[in-house]
This record gives sequence, C-alpha cells and structure tokens, in this order.
Amino acid sequence: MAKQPSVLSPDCNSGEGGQLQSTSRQHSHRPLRRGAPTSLSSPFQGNQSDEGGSSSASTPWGPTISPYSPSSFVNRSPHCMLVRGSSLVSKTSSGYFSFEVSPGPVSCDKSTQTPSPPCQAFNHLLSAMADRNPVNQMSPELWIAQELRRIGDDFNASFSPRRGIFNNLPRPLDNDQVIILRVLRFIIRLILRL
Amino acid sequence: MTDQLKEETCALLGEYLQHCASPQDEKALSPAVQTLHRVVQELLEPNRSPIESRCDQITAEPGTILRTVAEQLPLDGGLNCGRAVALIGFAGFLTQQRGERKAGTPKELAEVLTHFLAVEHKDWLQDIGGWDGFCKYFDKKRTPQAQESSTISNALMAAAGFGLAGLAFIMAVR
Repeated sequence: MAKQPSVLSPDCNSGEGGQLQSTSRQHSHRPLRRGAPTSLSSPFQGNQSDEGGSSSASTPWGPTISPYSPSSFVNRSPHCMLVRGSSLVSKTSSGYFSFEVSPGPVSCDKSTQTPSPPCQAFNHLLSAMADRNPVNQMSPELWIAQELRRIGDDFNASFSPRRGIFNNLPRPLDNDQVIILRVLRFIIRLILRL
Repeated sequence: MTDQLKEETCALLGEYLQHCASPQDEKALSPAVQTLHRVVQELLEPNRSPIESRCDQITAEPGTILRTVAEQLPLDGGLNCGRAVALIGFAGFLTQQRGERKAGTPKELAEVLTHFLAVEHKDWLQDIGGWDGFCKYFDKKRTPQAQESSTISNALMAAAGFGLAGLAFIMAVR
C-alpha cells in the first residue's frame, strides 16, 4: 500500500512552504513523500524502506526525522489534501485518506473550500451591489420622499450659510477692492516713471 | 390662530397648485405664491426628471401618493423650509397628468398639504413665523449689497486689466 506511487506528493510540496524544494529536487524527495504516508499506519516500516540514501543525503533532517514530527505531518494537513485536485489520487493508495469513508472526491468540494482572494473580492462586490440594489427596488414613494428630503436639505443648507456669507462678504470684498486699488496705483506709478 | 393659519395655508397652496395645474392662466399671483413659485423652480428644476420618471411608475391616487410622501418627509432630521418647499413642488408636479397617472385636483392636494403643514406640523410653521416668515426666509437671499460690491470689484478688475495691458504695451514699445 505504501509502495504505490502517490501523485499528490509533488503537489503537496508546492503548498507546504517550509519544505519547498526546487523542481530538480523533487525527484529525489519523492521517495520521502511516498514513504511519509505509510508512517501513518506503520511509521517505521515505510520510512526506513523508502528513504534510502537519496533523501537523507539531500535533506539535513532526512534519516533522523521522526515520523511524528510536525514537519512530516505538514504534508498531511487537510488543507494540503483539499487544495490538491484529488481526482487523480486513488484513495486506497496511501494512508493519506485512511480516515475517509467515501470514495475519493472526484472534484474539490466547493462548500468546504475557502474561495480564492479574487473570488472573495468578486463575491464582496456582488454582495455590495446587492445591498445597494434595494435602493432601486424600494417603492417609488419612499424613493421620492428620500430624494425630496435630500433636495430640501441641500437647499436649506445652501440658504443658511449663504446668509452667513452675505453678512461676512462685505469685508472680503472691501479687502479685494483695496488690493485692486493698490495694484492700480502701483501700475500707474510705474507707467509714470517710465 | 390655528384656524387662521390653516385657512391661509389652504388658500396659498390652493392658489399655487391651481397655477401649477393651469400655468397658462394669466391670473395675478399673490407675492407669497410668487415667492413659492420661484423657490420651487430653483429647487426642483435641476432634479425634475428623475423624480418624474419615478413618479410615473406610481398608479395610485395623487392624494394618496402625496400623503405617503409627506409622511416620510420629516424622517431624519425633521421638517425644514427646504423640505416643505420640495413637498409643495412635488404636489405641484402631481397636478399635471403624465403617462398613466391621473392628475390630482388642486383642491384635494391643497387639503392634504394643509393638513400636513398646518395641522400636523403646526408648531413648526408657527415657529418660522407662518407664511410671512417663510417668504422672508427665502427673500433674504437677494441681498443688494453683495451685488453692488461685486459690481464695484468687477469695474476695478477691469481697470486693473486695462492698466496691465497698457503697461505691457509701453514695455513692448520701448
């Protein structure tokens, strides 16, 4: 059971962060990955038989790694299993899915997956638009009342400050006139000097 | 006092709505109605088409529409002069027939508005000083002083412009 090559191992590798290896290395690590699942059912048998020399040479933790160490369990995290398209995986091929009863999912179960960030953004946008839509779908009377309130408030607001501005306007206008007069005087003087 | 205010309101709004229903009538309007007409024009003209298109979707009786809208009007901050003008303008709009909507009679709409303004919001109307206060509120906008000042500064700006042009001309000649 552990000897059957597992397709998911390379995929899992790409998702697991800490144990990422370069593509060239994946070959040498495949035995480790393949062996790892066996460690679930019989840790020592699978690891020792498969790890051989290749992985122990390339990874510092190779032979000495405990099958129960967190680093080896990272591969088996549910997240990793869900992310990988598991249609290729036969369930009985390894200990990965030993806790599952039903046959392997043909495609990813959407209900258990977190949507990708763009998808989340899109969903958010859609829901925001849906929230905004009721404004259009509210009854025309309510909409008209809301619009009249808005127009009326704007109109009222434009009146109240305007009275204030008119009270204060003469002064700035005087200042403007004084400035313009000074500029004129300066210009006239300049012309006369020329 | 209340009855007097109510009658005044009813007469004023009836006259205004009658004018809206038949604008080609060459009847002389009272000053208050003229003010009201001018203010409504200023307020509603820019926003007329969206409200019209919405209003065309309603098939209810104009009086019912006006009552429903009026009930919603004091929400979020209470009644003010701007909102009252908006409502009166809307009532004026309801006197005209458009699409499938029936035209409201000025009398009926004036009664609805009178009930709303002079009975339900009697205190507010009294606070602003009745319709005289209402008209004064909107007449304050025209302040001659500001117009004079702007005329003077326009003239000064023109003089300054000429001065600058002359200066530039002299500089160029030299």
